[in-house]
Amino acid sequence: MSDGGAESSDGESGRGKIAAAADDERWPLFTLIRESGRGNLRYLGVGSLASLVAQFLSNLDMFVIGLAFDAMFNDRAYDLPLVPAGWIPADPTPQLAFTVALLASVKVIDMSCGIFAQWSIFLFAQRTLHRIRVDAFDTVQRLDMDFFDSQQTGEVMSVLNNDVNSLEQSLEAGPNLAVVAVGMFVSSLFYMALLNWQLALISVAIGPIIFGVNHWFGRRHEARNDEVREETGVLNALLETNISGIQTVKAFGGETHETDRVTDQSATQRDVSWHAHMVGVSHQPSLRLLAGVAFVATLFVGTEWVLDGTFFGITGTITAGQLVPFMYYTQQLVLPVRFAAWVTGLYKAATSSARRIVGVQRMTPRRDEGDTVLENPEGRVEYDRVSFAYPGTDERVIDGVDLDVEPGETVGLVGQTGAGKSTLLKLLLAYYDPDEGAVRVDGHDVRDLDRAALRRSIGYVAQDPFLFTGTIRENIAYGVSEADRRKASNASGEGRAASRETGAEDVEDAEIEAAAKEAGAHEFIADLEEGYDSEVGERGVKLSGGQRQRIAIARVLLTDPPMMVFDEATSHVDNRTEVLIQRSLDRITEDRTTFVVAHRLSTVRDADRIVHLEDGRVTEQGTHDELLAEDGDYADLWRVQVGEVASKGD
Amino acid sequence: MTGSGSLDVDVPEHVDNPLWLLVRRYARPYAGRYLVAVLGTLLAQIPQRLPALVVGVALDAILLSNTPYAIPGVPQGWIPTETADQVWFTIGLLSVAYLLDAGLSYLSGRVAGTARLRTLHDIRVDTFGSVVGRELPFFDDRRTGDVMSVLNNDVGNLNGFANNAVQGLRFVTQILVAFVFMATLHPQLAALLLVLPVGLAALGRWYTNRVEHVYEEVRESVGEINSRLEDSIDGIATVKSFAREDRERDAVADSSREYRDRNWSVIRLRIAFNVSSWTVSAFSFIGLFALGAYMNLNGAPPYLGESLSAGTLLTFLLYSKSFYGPIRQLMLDVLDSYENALASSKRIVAVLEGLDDDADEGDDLVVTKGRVEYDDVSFRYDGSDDQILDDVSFAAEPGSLVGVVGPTGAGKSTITKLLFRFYDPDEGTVRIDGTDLATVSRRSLREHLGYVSQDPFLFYGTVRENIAYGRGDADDTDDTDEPESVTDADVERAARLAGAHEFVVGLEDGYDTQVGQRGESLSGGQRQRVAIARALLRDPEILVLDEATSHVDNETERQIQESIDALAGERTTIAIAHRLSTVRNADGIVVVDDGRIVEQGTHDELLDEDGLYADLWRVQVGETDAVSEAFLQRARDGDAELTGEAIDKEVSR
Repeated sequence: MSDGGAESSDGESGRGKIAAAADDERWPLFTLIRESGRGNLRYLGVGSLASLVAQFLSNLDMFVIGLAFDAMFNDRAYDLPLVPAGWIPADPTPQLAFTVALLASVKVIDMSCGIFAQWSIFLFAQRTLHRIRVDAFDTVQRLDMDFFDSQQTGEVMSVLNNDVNSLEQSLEAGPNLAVVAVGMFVSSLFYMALLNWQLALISVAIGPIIFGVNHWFGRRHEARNDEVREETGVLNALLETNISGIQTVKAFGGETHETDRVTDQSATQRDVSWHAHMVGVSHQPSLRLLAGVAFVATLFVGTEWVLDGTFFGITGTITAGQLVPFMYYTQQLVLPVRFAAWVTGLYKAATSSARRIVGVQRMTPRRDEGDTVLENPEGRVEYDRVSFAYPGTDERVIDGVDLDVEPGETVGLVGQTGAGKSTLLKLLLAYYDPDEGAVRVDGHDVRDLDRAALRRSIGYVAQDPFLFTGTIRENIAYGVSEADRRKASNASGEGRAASRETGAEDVEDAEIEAAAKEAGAHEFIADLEEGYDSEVGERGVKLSGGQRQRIAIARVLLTDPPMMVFDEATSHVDNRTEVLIQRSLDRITEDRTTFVVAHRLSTVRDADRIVHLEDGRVTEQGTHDELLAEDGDYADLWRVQVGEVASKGD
Repeated sequence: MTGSGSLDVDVPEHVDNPLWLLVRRYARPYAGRYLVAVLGTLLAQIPQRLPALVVGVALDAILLSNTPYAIPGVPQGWIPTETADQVWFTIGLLSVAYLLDAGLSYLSGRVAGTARLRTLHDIRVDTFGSVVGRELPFFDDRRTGDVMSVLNNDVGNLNGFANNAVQGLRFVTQILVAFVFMATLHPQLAALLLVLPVGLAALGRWYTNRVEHVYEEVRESVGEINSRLEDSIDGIATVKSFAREDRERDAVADSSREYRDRNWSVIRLRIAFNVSSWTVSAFSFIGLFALGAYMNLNGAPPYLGESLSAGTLLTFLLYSKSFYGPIRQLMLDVLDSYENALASSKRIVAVLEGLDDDADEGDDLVVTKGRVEYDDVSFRYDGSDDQILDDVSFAAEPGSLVGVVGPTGAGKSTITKLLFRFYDPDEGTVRIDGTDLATVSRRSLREHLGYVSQDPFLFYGTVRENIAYGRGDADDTDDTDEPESVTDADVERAARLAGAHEFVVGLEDGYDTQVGQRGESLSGGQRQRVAIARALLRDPEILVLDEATSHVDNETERQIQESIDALAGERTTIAIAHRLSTVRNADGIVVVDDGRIVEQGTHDELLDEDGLYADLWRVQVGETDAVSEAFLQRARDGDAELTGEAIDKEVSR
């Protein structure tokens, strides 16, 4: 689709644009989870609850130990809240046995809850993610071509892939971590209060300070990390551009210059990294120091109480057994704060991923389609005063085009880049609706037609034919759906055996071979070691552009469409291979309505009619010889084609 | 994001441990800083472990009043005897400990960060220098992404390792210091408690070993999903034109389900690990409490030495709680990052230690007239049996335009690559003004050559920088390395000549518009004209045009053709052309097929000859029915040959 008028030029803001499409969504993450998590939300609920219980139980041990300490070593009464006094033995050694049994059973429950929480939250995350992944992909692939023309595939891929994956990390770790942070913090305060509420007040007082300090560091972190990301991005662009352009670098002797540039940028990146690092370096020790302050204050007040009975007029006490859990719990206050920062990070990442995932699905609202199903059309195509501008632009790419094409006719479309050649064909395929006028196939306005059926009746061969990962056989059979095959074979009364699983095997090998032969592809495929079962694509055999092109043509031929569209189909093929393709095309296009978009005029020289477009208008049409005789724009272009450049007369 | 690089390079044999080599070479300049950082980290562990110890002592002496106040390692004379003073002493000791911990941690973190970032910067810059110094054969077999990943991921892995190594050091000393303190309090119990860290470490080892294989599978299925998605999105026009969206959906759903299922094996394993490590730490904690309290109440069994006080038990309990997190991280993250760093350092060292191609080796080339001559040149790429060039001989007279044409794969581009000495011929010589190029330095050679390629490459930077490329920065006047600095006027003049000025001033920031990656994208024709301006500004004696016009439409081609005519002017020019129209007016046309020159002459002469060129020309003008049978046969053979070659490549992999 090189001829599109809607080239997107700003790759950087592409992801921003995708996110912006979900701007009206206040809580994109929750929208996404609500939509795709249905049926699995209870796992999240139950899991979080279990995790909370586990956290409370796991913090209970120091509390019990503290009380047991006082009972066994400090001759105090062994009172456990919620435990009937009669259950508790009176002598130290049985008390010890009782305590150990209690600790062990609490631990067993704690661990069971913890395991259940993990299992259940993972289950929620995995199931939800699977659905988000498939739903997001499916919605996106069904968006109009408009969307894909205006977005770079890399950006769409990065949403479907990177954003979904990063959401997975957030969903797996986030909820549990959040619950653990809350549970740890609250249960620590709770147990301290239960032991000695006056002393617990000190920790309660210092809690907000810890949060405040943490928040302050968090914001500085963020600002610094943004700088690091920015500078790393520039550095990577610099590196990549150098490696991919190595031949140019060398041809211009620019190695030293490049090394200097990389050194400078690497130094900049190093310096901003250092600043970011320094935030972290002061962050952790500060928090530890604050926890230390909380504990020292507790210890000080407590011992003053023990020794003097009063501390600045406030009375209270502390026992040896209380000191133990207090020391532990004050340290425990710091960890949840760090977790909280972590959870915030995860949440932010998840929200921006979710925003893009929701956004990409809402980028382009789907157009309505008609319900008339086109069946075995003759292939008469009519453009009736068609005008069209790409959505969001004012520039008319197609401007009042009138064109009647008879069944079986071959029409060559020529003109400059941006003249509207490919766009004209996109309107025929109903990738876009015209703004004015109508495109008709066999007299039906394409807007009234069922799009799938319309597109099946048009064989489309692109400039860089796309082959899917899989065998050559699968690629050729791609366009033939299982259902169609079944219908066709029933209709022809062949009574084939029940259809097998994959589409590829559904199609008779003979038919595939016939299509390949017609496309001039059979010879080289048969020469391959594995023939039609050779894998193509990244991991498969390397095929030349011309070979791929012929497989693409065979793929189209198998569906036997009454109309065909060749969009720059031979412009990337060398002269020698072009002959092979050209020759098979002559036969293929004979009985079909065919449009050929060409930069290379040689491709359309023999067309029944050549249409020259300029700025979206038809300026000349006729056969090659007629147009040469007219000595207009086409004749000028032809002179370029045959190397008579200087003779452009203006 | 780790370990995705798969650059295919070999570590030289004299290197035993590449990571160690990097450390020796690049950490040494900052040895003082590293030493301070390590000492700081180690020392910080002492005050960090102190509170648990002090609280235990204070508990016994002050609150239970059953044991004298004594701290291991502190002379008894320093410790006050009055209880009230002991409280102040304790508070003071704890405060000092917390402050020391914070101060030492900050100091060592700061110094370590400086040293680490500087080391990495040095490694990155040196590695880049090595990469960019390599000649083209190095890049031929390697994908851009793989080379990038050395500079990017591999250096990043080293960073991760450096970070984790500091962490690891902290964890190890943390555990060691705790055990030293515990051993002074109660050696037997401390020895018994060793079960905890050892057990946790063993579990961690078991888990990382097991999970590695499963992860492999998960990664595979992530790749699977990725390529599925890519397939469908890249081929969306095809999907839609065949209306096969349902099939794509099912395929994606299948791979996603597969991934989910495999992921569950990891999750199961993780849960199993959690259960076991929780069990170990929880029950050794409870066991410690039971044993310690029992010993306190009833006296120790004979083989466990003396009884222990409640305060000591408290210290033990607090320490044992502090082992779980660090050991887990040590086993899971630190060791993992070591493995990653080792693999990464192999690739980095292989790049660093590889043979440097010295661009300055040889005499300076002197160009007097600009005559280029190929004399019986033969060439094949390293490791390939395919003779790319076979006895190629031709000459380009000073100031002439020579066109090189022929089918894809005939060896056209290779001819010019030898001129730049991207490669050296296996046999024969390439000469400029009679000087064998093998004897001159690459740098001086390339100074005389200009190059405009098929897919002109623009660097990340401004239009101005791109045009001034190879002549120093246009806006960098204090650049003393360059003999002559380029003025804005020079840049503009070159742009005007190349027909680029008009569209450049139309850009929002004019000549300061960022182009290339992360910059404004220009059309093929625009990029082409910027590249031509770049070559013009260099004003080379000899110019190479590499299929410069095969990607643009006829009208744009016409404009470019005009600027090329301006460019070629009086210079010797070699133009490789796909479209024969480009070289129709050339002074001489060389027709290459299968590495051999099959025809030479002007356009008209070659048409008269009615050989390969005449057939190619027929295709060019659309007379496909008129091509000779021999040409068709060659096309079909070429098909089979190419396929055969592809299979060879597959098999050899």
